[in-house]
Amino acid sequence: MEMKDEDKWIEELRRRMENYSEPLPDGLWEELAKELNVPKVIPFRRMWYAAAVVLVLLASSLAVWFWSSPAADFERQDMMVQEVLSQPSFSDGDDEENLDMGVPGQALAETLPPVSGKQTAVLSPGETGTQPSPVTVGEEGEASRMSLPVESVERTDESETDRNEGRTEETPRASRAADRERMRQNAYQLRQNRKNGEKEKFSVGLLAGNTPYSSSNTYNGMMGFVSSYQAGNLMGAVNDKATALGQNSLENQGHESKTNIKHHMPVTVGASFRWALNEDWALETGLMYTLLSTDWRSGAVSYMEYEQKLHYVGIPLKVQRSIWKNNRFAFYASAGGAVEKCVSTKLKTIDADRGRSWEESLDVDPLQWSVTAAVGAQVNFTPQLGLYLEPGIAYYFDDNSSIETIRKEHPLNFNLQLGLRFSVGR
Amino acid sequence: MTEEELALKCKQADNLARKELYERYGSSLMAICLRYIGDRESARDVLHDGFIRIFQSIGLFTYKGTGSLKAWLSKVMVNEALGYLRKHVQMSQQEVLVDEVPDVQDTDEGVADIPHSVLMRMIAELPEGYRTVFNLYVFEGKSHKEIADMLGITEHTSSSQFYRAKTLMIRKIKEYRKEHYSWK
Repeated sequence: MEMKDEDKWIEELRRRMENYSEPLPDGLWEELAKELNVPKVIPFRRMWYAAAVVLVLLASSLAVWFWSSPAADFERQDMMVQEVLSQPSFSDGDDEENLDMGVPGQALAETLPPVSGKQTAVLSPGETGTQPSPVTVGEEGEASRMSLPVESVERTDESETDRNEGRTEETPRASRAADRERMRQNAYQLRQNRKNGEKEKFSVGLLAGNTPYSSSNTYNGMMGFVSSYQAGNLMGAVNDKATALGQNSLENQGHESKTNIKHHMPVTVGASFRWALNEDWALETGLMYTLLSTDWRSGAVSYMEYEQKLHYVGIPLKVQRSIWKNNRFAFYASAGGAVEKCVSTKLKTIDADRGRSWEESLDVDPLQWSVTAAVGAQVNFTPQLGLYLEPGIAYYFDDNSSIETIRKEHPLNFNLQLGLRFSVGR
Repeated sequence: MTEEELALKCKQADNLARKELYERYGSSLMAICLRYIGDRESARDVLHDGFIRIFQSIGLFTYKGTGSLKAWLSKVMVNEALGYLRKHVQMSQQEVLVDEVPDVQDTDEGVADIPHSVLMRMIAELPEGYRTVFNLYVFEGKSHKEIADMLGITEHTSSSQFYRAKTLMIRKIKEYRKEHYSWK
């Protein structure tokens, strides 16, 4: 009985609403007509699609190509640093672990990597120790200049050992400050050299953007790409001025000083939010965290190592223009900027020879401003969430701080950003 | 222009025919959108996307006699609306508002005395999940099994949401009567 009533009620409601109509929205036909009246645009759109694919692939491979050539150098150098660190101290006679004492110059020579022909700027002390013929790369003058310190290292092994043994306890502190000063001078020198027209490699950082909601896979996946840029290994000691400024360390007296700088790939993690203004244009912002990590190695015979870690939190703001898209894929171009604040710093100084280290923090007060331009490809998992790959170029403005980072070395830098993006709006 | 001619010309991408189709059927399709979506702003978006889809896929339409074009258009629009709801509403997360459900259902009085626009408003005001199930059951004549498959919910959820939607409708209708036909 009740069932029958229900059916009747439903039937009545259905019939009653059957021919009901609502007023048409204003201006909708005009909108539709505009969109429908574009049969010629379809091939045009396809052309855009093809162009977008080519552009993204080209930019990606360009970025990867630039990135991959210094990568090999980096690995070797990384290895070198580790091995040098693992060398037992030779100057501390009381050290129980001091079992496998070696002559420092020789130890370095053994652990340093062979250098391939193309690495004009990548020369390390002691490399000639493993290679009978001296440096065969670069311009004539540069090559001979580079080989100098190596020779002196080998020649003065004995006397250096003696001198180190006779050193007092406070010397490391003094030399540490001196080394830091020299490190800065060297960095300055490097920049000066570059300005004077020395050959320069382009650097590539790889940014990993992702979100707190994503699994750690994205992040770990990126770690496989970790690389660093090897900024000229030979610095300082190129003219009298630099020598005078740099050579105030007792240990390295009579030797050419060098600084190896190794900038690790900047890693950015964060959440990205995209707000669509209309079909084609969108605004994007978010919150990003970046770690800039740099290792320094300074000195000639006795080395000081520095591990500098800068933690940045920043807010990007970008405008996005869609190039081509469907429900699943999207290609776009974006341009914008970011402001970042250094929230935490750590400088660890390692006196490898004596197995000691100090930690301190640095002051980086100024904001880091940058502008970026990129093309991107995105795969949407849902209309709101997508994975994107975005090769681009970033320019970092000088923040006028005295801290050396990859952004100072290479203000204009390729980057490849990968991450998750939340989209809202139309 | 007959229904058949209109469809044919639309297939040929004739702009005048398209405009004719829009003007002839647009307002009843808008009613469908509003009935499913609930708010006018979003319904407009769905109507827009639905018309784009209609003109893109009108080639698939085959004329089967008077009324078949309208039936086809309505079907496309309902699918568009469901697609929208699927994207924007979590069907399974609709809360069941037990308090709002009165024990007794009274369907004796029907709906004949309630104006169309009032019924439309009442349907539009239903909670989203209830509304979808209610629409599909009442206006598309789908079974709870079919609705469950379409929306990715269980058959039981579909029937209980329908029951609650209907109960809310009846209550709204009663209140309306009390307010407007106090002599009853």
